[in-house]
Amino acid sequence: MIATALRVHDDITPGREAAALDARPRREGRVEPPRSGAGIGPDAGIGVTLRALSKSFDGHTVIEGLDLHIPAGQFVAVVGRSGCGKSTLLRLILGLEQPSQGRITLESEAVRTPSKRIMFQEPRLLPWARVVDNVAVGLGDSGTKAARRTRAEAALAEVGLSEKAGNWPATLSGGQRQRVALARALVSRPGLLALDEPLGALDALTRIDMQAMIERIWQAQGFTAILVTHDVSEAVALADRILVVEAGRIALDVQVDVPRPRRRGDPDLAALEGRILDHLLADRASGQRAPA
Amino acid sequence: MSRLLDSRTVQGLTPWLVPVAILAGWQAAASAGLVSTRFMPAPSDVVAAGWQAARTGELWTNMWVSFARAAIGFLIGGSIGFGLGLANGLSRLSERLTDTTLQMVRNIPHLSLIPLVILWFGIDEGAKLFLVAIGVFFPIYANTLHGIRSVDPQLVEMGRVYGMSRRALFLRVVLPGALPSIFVGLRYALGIMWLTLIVAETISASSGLGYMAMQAREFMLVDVVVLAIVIYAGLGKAADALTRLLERRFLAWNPAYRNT
Repeated sequence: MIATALRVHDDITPGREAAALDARPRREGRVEPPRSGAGIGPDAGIGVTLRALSKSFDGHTVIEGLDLHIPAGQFVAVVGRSGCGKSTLLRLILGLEQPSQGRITLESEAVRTPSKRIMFQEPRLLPWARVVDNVAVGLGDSGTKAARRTRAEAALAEVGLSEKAGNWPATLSGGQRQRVALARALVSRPGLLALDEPLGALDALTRIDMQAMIERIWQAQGFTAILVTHDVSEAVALADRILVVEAGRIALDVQVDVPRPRRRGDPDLAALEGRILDHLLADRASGQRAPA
Repeated sequence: MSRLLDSRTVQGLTPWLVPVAILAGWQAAASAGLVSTRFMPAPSDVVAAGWQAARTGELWTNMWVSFARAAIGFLIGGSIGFGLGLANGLSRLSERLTDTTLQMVRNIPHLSLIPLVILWFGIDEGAKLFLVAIGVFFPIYANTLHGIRSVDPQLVEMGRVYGMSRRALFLRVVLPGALPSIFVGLRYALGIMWLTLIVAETISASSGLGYMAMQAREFMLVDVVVLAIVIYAGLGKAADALTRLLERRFLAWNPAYRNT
């Protein structure tokens, strides 16, 4: 699979040292390698390959020599303690930060523009734009105004907020605002959706509703999802695969084979959650060097 | 009773209760001879003076002259202030180049420039426009700059991540985010605009409301002096109402400005 991802470059470098020399970030979303990985949905998303990826801020290493392949269409959850580098990892994949070393390759089967979208912890809606116009922000300048509006309205319907299209964001509840943010992220049909603790600020019941909504839309659209979260039970409920990040490295990489739809309180999920929590807590007990 | 107070008509009239009461008391005191009309004319006298001035056309000419001065000075000073505020809010280089200078000049009371301005421009229109423009410049500049600086950086990041061009980012994120602060500057500027104009017209002018008041003082026409003051109050209120209208139109999204 990694070979597939790398074939798009002609300067294939076998060793980590050699790869590390090429510090220029490369992100290519418009190549068409053979379909790789386990695309689940009808229209699988973007595969992500990281090779010897490092990132440091002012000499302080946050990500250290990380290798990872995420097949197109997979739902990956990244968990870890505060400051372990999981948010930086997400920002690197999105191109919001440039890697210090190593490279990032994105591959997709279909040509998609734009290919990556993020949902932040805060809704980040424009307070001066109506709900439907906020959703249309996700479409950029593509198409006519009427076409954008139609697509934005369809995306709003998908998150169950059709009747709020003409409202100001200030009149919505926290959960509704985050649903608008989800519609904005998905309205352009991205191949990769990054979720940076998007449900952290919501109450428990709203959070469960939102998890179900995200899972349903992911299954329908088949994009690749990368969810960064503190909440291990959320990771276990949603993800195909869970990565535990510790001190800039992947400490644990677990497949979640429990079939969907998953039931809350499923003993297999509970056991897995316990295992991951034990790992995270053992990390603390052994006094690992975890950057603050 | 409380239902009566809640009704829309009563709500609309409530702000006018106090001014009407003051006028009635004033008229009563003047008619009863409690205050000398030599120093404080009765409201009826002021109205009569207004009617007289309106009939000769003198009032309209003077009002129009004052209004034109205010508007032109405001447009000049306001657009320079707005432009520099935008430039310095968006460009570090521009800010480093000009902000220190502007902050130094800002601390000079602009009316202290009057002797210099008379030397430069004489007592022509130029002097008044210059003073109004200078007075209006700083509140608009400072509040535009502050508004752009205080735009939520998370929204700007969202705009970038969602692929907005620099132009779209400015028009859809930065400018609307700065607008509440720009309106604060606008209100301040309108107040300073009238103040500066009155002072300038009182000192040196051959037309305008300030000139009308100074002429009346020379002939001891107290009613015309008070008439000029009342007109200033009315113009100030009109400017304020206009700003409110604009705020309701452009800041409707903001719960603090919602129309209820």
